[in-house]
Amino acid sequence: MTAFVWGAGSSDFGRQTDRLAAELAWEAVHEALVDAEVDSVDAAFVGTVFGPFGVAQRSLVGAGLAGVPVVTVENACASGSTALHEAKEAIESRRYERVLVLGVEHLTSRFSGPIASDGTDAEQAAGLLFPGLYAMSASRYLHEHDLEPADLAHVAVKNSAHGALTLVPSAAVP
Amino acid sequence: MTTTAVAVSADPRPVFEQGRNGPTVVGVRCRGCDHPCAARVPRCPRCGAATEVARFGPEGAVWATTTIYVAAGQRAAPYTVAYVDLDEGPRILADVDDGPELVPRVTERVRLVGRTALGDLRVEVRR
Repeated sequence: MTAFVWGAGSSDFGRQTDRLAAELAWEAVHEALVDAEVDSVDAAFVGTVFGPFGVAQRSLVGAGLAGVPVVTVENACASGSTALHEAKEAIESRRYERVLVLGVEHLTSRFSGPIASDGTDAEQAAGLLFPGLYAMSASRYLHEHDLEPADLAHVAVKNSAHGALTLVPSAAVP
Repeated sequence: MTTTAVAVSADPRPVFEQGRNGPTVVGVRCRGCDHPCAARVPRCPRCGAATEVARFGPEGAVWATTTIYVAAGQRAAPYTVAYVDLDEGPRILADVDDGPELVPRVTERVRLVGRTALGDLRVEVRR
């Protein structure tokens, strides 16, 4: 059996200090259910890194999907992708017929500065948060390929141009 | 009544030791493939064989570097950090002692000299 995307939805992006992580999920899941013209699923695969404890369950209850099996995936930046991959496998192996895949983060309530892992990570404990970690990769990349920082800026320009094409309003701001 | 987490003193940063032959990092080396690792892991991240305790440093070369302008924790920004490949040893993350005025170049020689007041490994550029 081949898995198909039957419907999709998204919350708005941006700093939403007056909304809970689960509220963002409710908006997205409701939109996806309406788009797919269904009101139930057999299971849910939820990717989240910084989501507070229980965010997957609260997200589903508020979207009218209480009682289904829930698999929550934390796999760093690949959490949502892994949830999607596992959902696809679950369909194609006929474990389930119809599933929900959800990715949810509410970084506004978790960080006031750079995104970080936590104090048990050797890099963070030594003063290197995620932007610094990526800067280290960039430093090495510039060296190995004999490039200037301006060369990397073209990537940001290209990504902003792609972002401007999205239908989600706040993500379209270049 | 409130609940608080139990204070944990475990530190994920590499273990520093002021050895007889100079500053060192106490890590492990793989018994199978010789791969060095700053974290004291029981099995080699590269081949899976068992490891044994080994000491590395103090000489090394910069693998990558950056200057941080938004500080982490109690550090005062800006500060410069580098990934340093210790000679025949692991890659470590270290504070560059010379401050943001002297940003090392990738491949430049550095020397492990100790730890900062916050316990980060510290290297000096050898120019």
